[in-house]
Parts: sequence; C-alpha cells; structure tokens
Amino acid sequence: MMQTDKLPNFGPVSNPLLLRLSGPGILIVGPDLAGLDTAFNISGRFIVSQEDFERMDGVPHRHLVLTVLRKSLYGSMHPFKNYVIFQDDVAKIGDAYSGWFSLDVWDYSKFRYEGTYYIRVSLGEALSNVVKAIMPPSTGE
Amino acid sequence: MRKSVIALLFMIGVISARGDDLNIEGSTMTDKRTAETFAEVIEGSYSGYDCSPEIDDAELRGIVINAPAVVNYTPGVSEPLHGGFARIIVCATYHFGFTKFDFNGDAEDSIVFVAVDEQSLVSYSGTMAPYNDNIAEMDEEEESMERLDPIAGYINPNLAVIMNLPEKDADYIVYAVLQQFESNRVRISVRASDE
Repeated sequence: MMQTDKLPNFGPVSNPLLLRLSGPGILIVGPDLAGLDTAFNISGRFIVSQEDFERMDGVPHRHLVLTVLRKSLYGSMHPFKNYVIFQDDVAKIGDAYSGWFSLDVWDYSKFRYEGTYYIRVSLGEALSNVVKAIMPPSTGE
Repeated sequence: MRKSVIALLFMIGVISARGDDLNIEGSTMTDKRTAETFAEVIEGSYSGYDCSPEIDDAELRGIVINAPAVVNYTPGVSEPLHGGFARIIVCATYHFGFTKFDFNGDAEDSIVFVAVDEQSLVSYSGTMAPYNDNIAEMDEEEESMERLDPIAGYINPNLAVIMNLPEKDADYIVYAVLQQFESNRVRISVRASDE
C-alpha cells in the first residue's frame, strides 16, 4: 500500500452535491479526469443514524471502506482505520451524525495505471455514488 | 459454452418480484435467506436457484444479491472440492446491456464482490474468475444504449473461496460492483458450529 505520512482531512467541503445529503447515507465527489502524476482527490460526506453511530463505537470514519476498480484491477480498504479520529470530526445533527472526509486515492490504491477508475465509498450498509475518473497515460514529463 | 444456464435474453418483460427489504431501485431481492435455501446451490455455478433474486423491472441494469443470514462452519474442516472453510454462498442476478456485456465478455466473472468485516475493520474483495480485461469501457452514448437488449444471468460464488476469507466467526456486509453497476447490501454472520 502506498500510504503516505499525509494526515487525512475531515473538514467540510464546499460542494453542492455533498451539501445535499440530508439523511443517512454517503455521497462522494471527485474528478472526471485526473493524472497519474498528480493527486487523485475525492471528498465525501456521510450521515449515520444514532444506532449506527453507536454500533461504530462513535468513530464512523474508521468504518469507511474505499473501493477502487480499474478493469482487471480492484481493491477495497479502510483508509482511516489507523488514524486518530477526534470527537469533533463528527457533528451531531438532530438524531444523526454527520462527517466529512477527503483523501488521495493514490495513497491507498495498490495500483496506479492509466485507464478508467470507478471509485466508491461504503459505510455500513450505505454505499456512495460512483466517481468515474479517466486517467490518461502518463506524459513522463 | 461452459456456463450452464446463464444469461437469458429479456425479449419479454419478465420476472416476478417478492417484496422485502434492502431493495435497489427497480428491484427486490428474494426473502429466502435460510441455510436450507442455499444448500442446493453448486458453488461457482451460473444457474438460477430458489435463492436467486428475482427482478420484476426489465429496465433495471445492475446486480441484485442474496445471501444466507447465518453460515455455520466446522472448525478445522475445509470443503474438499473447492477448499473453503465454509459455504458462504451469494446468489446474484444481473441485468446488463447486451452491447458490451455480452456472452463473450464474461461480464459475470468480472463482478467484484466486497465483504466488510465491521468488527475487525478489514475488507475483502474477489471475483469468481479472473477479471476479464476484454470488457470494453462504455462511452456515454453506449451507456444510454444499455437500456436496449439486456441480458440477465446468475452467478453463485462462495465468498470463503474467492476472497480467501479467514476461518473465524465474523459479521460481514456484502455487496457487488462492476464498473458503474452496484448491488444491494446484505449481512452475513459466520459462526462456528456447535456440533
């Protein structure tokens, strides 16, 4: 795994799609076109019920599962499994809890080649929308 | 053709549905989740069984899965033919467009199953057969053509085999994905048999 020393970002992201989430679930946003030599950043937001929040021991970020597909290659992993999550990384909204996250897919993907990528994030039984991103061949520059 | 039943051309509307939870849009999964329902399934087969989700929406493009609520295993004993420590069978039904996901494309073998162990925070993934690189990517025009000439079929992997799951008690959340398609989610509890 190409994990780096970068700290994860759990801050809010100003994105209309993510702000649209109003009930339990998870949404992500990412680029249509990215680069093999640059960051492949996605951001997301989730809302979990009180029951699910408690089932996740109050740290839903650790339960996020990143799924990466690219033709013959695929993988799934818990990107925030080993990170310290602070209490204020999750906000209580009514009787549910909301959290944000941003990550560079390349920090977790075990492969990095040109092609079309399909990215999803799941949290419990909730599965996000899919981000489809094309990686053109590296220019080598 | 190595696959026995497999894909059906949906020239006629088709398929009845049984109501239940964990729906995906335009579809319902079967409510048969008992071990008995899955006992008859030949793991790694491409046939429809009683456990196979039934889909009533001919417009649906995607994957619907069903799995036993509880799977028991005998510690230290592997299934002799395929080697898995347990029969963690998932019955999946898929509807794809014929244009790209045709019989030669072996799309069903490229469906990626994901199992998340919520307790240990480990996720596993696998396909029933080596992923087929020959599946062409669809452009937007082709994606819109997905609504035409669909095919449907079945796939029944044993997750213990295709993901090499560890022999232990666990609770998994399972789903399947293929490119832009995704399934409903099901929960499977794996427990050592008391016998």
